[in-house]
Amino acid sequence: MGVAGNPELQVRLKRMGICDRRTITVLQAGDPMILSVVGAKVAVSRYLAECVQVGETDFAVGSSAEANIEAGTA
Amino acid sequence: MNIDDDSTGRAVSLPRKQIRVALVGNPNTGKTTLFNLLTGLRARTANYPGITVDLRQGTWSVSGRDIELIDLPGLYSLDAVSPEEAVVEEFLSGERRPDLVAVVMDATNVERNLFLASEVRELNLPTVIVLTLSDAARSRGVSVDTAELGKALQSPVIAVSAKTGEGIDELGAALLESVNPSLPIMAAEFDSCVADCTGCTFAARYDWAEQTAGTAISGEATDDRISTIDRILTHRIAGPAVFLTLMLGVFFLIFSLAGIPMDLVDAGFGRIGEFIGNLFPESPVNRAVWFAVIAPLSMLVFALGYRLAEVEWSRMSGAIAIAVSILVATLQVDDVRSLVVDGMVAGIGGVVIFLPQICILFFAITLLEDSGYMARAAFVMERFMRFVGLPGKAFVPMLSAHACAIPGIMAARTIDSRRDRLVTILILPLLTCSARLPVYSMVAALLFADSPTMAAVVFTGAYLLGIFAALFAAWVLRLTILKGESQPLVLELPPFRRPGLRNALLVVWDRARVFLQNAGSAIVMFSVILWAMAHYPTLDEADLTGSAAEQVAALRAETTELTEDQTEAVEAEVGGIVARQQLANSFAGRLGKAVAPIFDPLGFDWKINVGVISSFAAREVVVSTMAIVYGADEEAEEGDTSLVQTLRNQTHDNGRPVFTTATCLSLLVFFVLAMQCLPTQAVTKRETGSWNWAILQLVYMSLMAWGAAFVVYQVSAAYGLNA
Repeated sequence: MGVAGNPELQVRLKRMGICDRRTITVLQAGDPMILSVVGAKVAVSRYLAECVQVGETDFAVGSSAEANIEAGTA
Repeated sequence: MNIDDDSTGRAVSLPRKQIRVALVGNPNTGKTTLFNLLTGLRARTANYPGITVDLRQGTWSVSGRDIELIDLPGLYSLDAVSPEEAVVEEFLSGERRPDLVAVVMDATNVERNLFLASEVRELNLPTVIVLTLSDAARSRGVSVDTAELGKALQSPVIAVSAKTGEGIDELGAALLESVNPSLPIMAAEFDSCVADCTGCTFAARYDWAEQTAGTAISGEATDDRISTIDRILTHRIAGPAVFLTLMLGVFFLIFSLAGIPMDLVDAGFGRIGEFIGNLFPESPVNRAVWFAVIAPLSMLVFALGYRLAEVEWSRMSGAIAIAVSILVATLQVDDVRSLVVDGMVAGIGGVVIFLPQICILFFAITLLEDSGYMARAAFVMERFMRFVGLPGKAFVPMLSAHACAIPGIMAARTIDSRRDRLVTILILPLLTCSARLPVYSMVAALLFADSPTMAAVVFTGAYLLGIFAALFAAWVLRLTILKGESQPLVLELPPFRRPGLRNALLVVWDRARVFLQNAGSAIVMFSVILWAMAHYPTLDEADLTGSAAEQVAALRAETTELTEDQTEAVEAEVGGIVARQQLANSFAGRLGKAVAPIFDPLGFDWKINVGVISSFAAREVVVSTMAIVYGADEEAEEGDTSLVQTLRNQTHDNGRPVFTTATCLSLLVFFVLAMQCLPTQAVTKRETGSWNWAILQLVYMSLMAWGAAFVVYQVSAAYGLNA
């Protein structure tokens, strides 16, 4: 998994656990969407979610909404 | 500060009377609840030099030693991306660094909290780990091996429960022991595996947190499913509906419950003013004796005011107190009475009257916040608010501002980004508050006295104008001085928890005290200045000239043949004439005439200008001021027939009515958009940390009000509505 975007946005996402080697589950799709990461539910706007790139092997499917996080390679 | 570096670079604590302990932790870990439990009513919101963020501090006595606790803003890491986080970073590593850090961790989700704990631990300050919500963790089958966790963090770990008080004594003992350890604190021993990391430090730290939690925690606390209640509260349609219903409930509480205490405050201050007024002698007094009594009393009032407003005695503040006290002591008895009753007591009353609304709003918001609901509310409103460049969290302050801008501005503290918070604070006074209603009522009665439907249209239009003006101002601010998009949402949705009544009451107590101390002192000062402007130069009956003198002479000539009741009526009428002339002759009256060129294009005459000037402190004052200046009954209510009829009868020198449809609409638009509220200005300064933002708010709103009123008046006049 990789996180793009400006440095401040990267820090805001990464410190919540949305970073390399963590498991993210999409609990509710939409804008904003609800993710489960490091034991917490985190609401993230689609704009920020689009900064997150996940590889196929990184997927943890909690609902059918995994496509809302842009697929790619870390 | 008693932290010194020895030759090896180790931080060494030296014994001192009071220990400073900073509470640090993620949001929603129960940090503030723990702080409130330990400090109770001894806590206070402190202003630190150079810091615009409030820090709450309080004292906790443990085994005869005072521990000064500082509740730092909640944060997820020490990589500061907001002013609040920068404050924490600076506080922990700068000159103000505490003697010890207590890292508050949620026992139900240790892994997430370990990220920040490891960062704090690397500061090499004496550290104690406080595990809150330990009872909640146990009930969810989670067991924390505190010894193992302490070993990983190289710090004592104390499990506490704010509900039962479990572990509090052990926490006190651990703080005392850790701040003066039997062995020196060894620097750079702690290794969270990121020191040599060449990849992503966040990932490395979370790897370490996962590994540590794996060895210290047993049982599964996290739930990767979304609950039914969360599905409803965050639903695209049901979510906003629930939120609006809850907010309507809160405002119903405010309007239904605050009315009684507000009336009591109003009546109470009326009684206090009357009581104090009666203490003054009616007959002339010896000037020397008067001076000897009043000057020390005035100094006493200054001492009390400085203490409440936390103003330090300096050469400047001392000189001001002495100069003003001498000046006051040289005034006549009647002037001092009016200063105290009409200036100070009325000014303080004008501040305290807002308290019931503030207390009820913050009580409700704190309960909703502690329950975990407010994060869901911000989530659902995010979709709507981002269109004008505001975050979802701005919606609650905007709703609150419809009751009163002051609690709305104070509620904006929940907005994380300083830019978003500033935009929200700057636009909030545009939303119609209850203080504008007397003005709307007066204008509606002037325009459509016989049509309740059209009067309702006036009210609705005024409310909508305020809302659209606020959204427009937010959009303009985003494009100009506060450039940028609102911060994209990244928000933890905390688990639902039962809110604590004690915590909510302590928050209300703190907010009320901050409001009275900081806003109150400025409001009272400006109230006294405005009183002086409307009171001086004084004018007696003997000083009347022209038609006013002739009117009084005619009334006096009839007095000999009148009954006692009729005489009283004549005296009241003479008093009214003197009051009108006094106001016209005062600095405020003269200013009203001087600014006529500015307000003429809006259709205002100089008497309306006096209303505008006198209502600078509080817009609702315009009704009573206009009642005085136009000679209606001073006690006239906003929709009162006598006032409305008096205003309708006013004409210019050329015989044209003053209150034409064009002038009424212009007046309405002006008061919808103009700042005209000193308490709000004082709170803006307080919340933004600078008078510059308060001045900007005043200037842009005044310009917007003037511009819109100008357009409305000129267009209405062009369509023949000025006759």
